[in-house]
Amino acid sequence: MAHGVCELIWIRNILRDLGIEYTEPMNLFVIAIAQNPVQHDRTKHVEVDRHFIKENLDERIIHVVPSRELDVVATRPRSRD
Amino acid sequence: MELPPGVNSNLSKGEVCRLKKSLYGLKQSPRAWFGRFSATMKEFGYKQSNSDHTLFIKHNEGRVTALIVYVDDMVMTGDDPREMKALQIYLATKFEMKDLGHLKYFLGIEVARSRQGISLSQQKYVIDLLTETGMLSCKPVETPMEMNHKLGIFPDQDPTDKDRYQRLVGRLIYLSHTRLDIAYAVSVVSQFMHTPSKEHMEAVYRILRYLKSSPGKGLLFTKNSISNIEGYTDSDWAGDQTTRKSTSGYFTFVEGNLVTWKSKKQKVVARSSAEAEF
Repeated sequence: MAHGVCELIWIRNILRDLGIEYTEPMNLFVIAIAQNPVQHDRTKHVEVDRHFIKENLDERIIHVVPSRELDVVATRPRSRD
Repeated sequence: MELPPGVNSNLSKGEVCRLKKSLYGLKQSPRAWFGRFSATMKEFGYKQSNSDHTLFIKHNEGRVTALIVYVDDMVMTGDDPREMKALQIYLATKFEMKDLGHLKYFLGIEVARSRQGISLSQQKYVIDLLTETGMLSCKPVETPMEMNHKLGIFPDQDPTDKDRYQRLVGRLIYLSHTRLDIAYAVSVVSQFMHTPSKEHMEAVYRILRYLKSSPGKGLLFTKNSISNIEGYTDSDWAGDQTTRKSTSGYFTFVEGNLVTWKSKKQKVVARSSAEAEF
């Protein structure tokens, strides 16, 4: 998942270089996990990967969509801003 | 390295030639070439991208021109035809250049434009591969790999022709530039490059038989109404039979078009299925 986030950020940087800017957070679709409200920074022994994902979530660079919401997002009409 | 033709080569023992500039066949020459090329581009007002060092970009009155280089092959694009023409003329004065017109064939990848969009495929490469391996008339299969395969490295396995195996897998890796459907299967078979067995070779043949069923598949980039970058990711847990490492994969869409993907075995052993996902 961390690699997926890396790739998204890389693509966004290339597009920014080309002059295409996205303001909305990028969607990352996952099957098992979601934004966990219970997960807090007091947890010990967490991996770097998880911090990396969390950091990007907090800064609203990415948005994680769990599979439960997947149908909703896929069928929701999205318009070009 | 050898003396270039035309140089008086009757050197007596102990004599060497002194090199005054970088030349063909030298270890440093690729770097020297790229250094010279990027300096030339920067002189013309282009910026080297930090995300991909072979990409050069110039913004001019809201219009953009981009050039990407692979050794000595270049692709140029943009929405400023005047700037593109100027760059072409400029580069032609600096280097010996040939304009091949619209992009049709690049690094073995066929590019086609149509009303629907731009498509990338490696059909010719697939056909060549099948012809070379004598699999052109094989029985096609629907999937590139068996489900729940138990491929691994075992002490009592039957060895196979290592050279042939490595060459075939190498060609398949190149093919996965436009074929994400074989990405996972290729990543699995390439894990046995050092000790391939008959079973592994069978898996490679299975991929070839799958390719036979769909030689022309590729990527299609279309214009549509989605304006976002999206990524999808998932992983298995302890999928590798020998090391119990997990495999994860992701793919990303830009405005609804598939751009990058990857299927990779993780570096560490995940201790839980949740850890495997991260």
